[in-house]
Amino acid sequence: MSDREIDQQLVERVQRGDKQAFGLLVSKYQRKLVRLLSRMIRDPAEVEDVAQEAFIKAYRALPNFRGESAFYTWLYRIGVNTAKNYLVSQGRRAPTSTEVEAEDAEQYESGELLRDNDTPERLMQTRQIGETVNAAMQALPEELRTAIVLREIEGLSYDEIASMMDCPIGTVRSRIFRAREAIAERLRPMLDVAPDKRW
Amino acid sequence: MKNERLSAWVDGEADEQDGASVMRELAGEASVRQDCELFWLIGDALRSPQQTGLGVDLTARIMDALESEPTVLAPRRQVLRTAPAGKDRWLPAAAAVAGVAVAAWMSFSLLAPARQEVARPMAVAAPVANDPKPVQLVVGGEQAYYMAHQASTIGAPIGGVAQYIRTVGDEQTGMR
Repeated sequence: MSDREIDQQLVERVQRGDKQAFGLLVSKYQRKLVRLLSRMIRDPAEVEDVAQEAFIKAYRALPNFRGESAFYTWLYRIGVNTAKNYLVSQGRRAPTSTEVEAEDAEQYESGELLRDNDTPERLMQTRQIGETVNAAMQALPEELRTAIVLREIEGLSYDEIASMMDCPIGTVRSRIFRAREAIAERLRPMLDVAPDKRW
Repeated sequence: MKNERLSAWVDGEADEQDGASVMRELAGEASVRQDCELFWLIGDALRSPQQTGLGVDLTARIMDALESEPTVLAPRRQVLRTAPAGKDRWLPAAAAVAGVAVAAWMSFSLLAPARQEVARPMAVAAPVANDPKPVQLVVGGEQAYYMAHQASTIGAPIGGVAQYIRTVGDEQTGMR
């Protein structure tokens, strides 16, 4: 089951009336969408408002989503159009299509072109998350660190990682999971959400 | 084990069975959804060197906003029917064969008396001679005369006729 198939399954659940499945799509893509919109809109509060509006537009339009393109490509297109409309409504110039293309959204992963325009609280939380993840990575045993780096940064499949690390796929699966759990263990207290705030 | 399945699912590496289990758990358990979010956050943090936007969490806010939205329901997609598996796949063929057999039986039943009546005289028909004798041509009277004088005509049989026409024509124009 590929990443695109997972998204399609979640989309189909939303189309059958499961709002929580849409929450998972929001969780998965909110950071990518916010980074994309940050290229178009300077004010972080406005970026979040536009991102929220884009997600709600996507939710309303989901009955018509047929899966011809990947969900994130479709979502980013909605995000870019929402941002352009927002800027026009504010009397500001919307970036031309060559400045921001939804198809290029994946290339924004590096974040090199992004402006660091978060609020102080958001900046602090971002920094804390980054430092915690880095510290957790440094503390990982070598084989766990290699496995998760090959997966998350290099984007290799379990099969490819098993070949590179000369171990069974089941071991790769276990190592990646243990690496995630070790990092998550350190993040949980920082991100602990009150029960009434959970969705 | 549950979270190991979830971790594989996040990577798109879970099989169908595990994927279905994870989807059920995600639908029913808030803690599993939180772990899933955490795994996605870890991935984003590792892929983003400058770690921009890691602190963003719009999920609760958007889900609150969706509370007032009507639930979206897409029309069910028409699924292409696939060939039935197992013994059921023979049912259409068996039904077709049975239909043909019934039609054939009915037509044979209706036509049976007529065929018997037609067949009876055929059964008593005289046997065909195996060694037929040559046909004898009976020649006599005028036919014998024509046959005898055929040789006296010039060339082909039309020659005699042409000569007669010419003779009669000459007489009428007074050339003779």
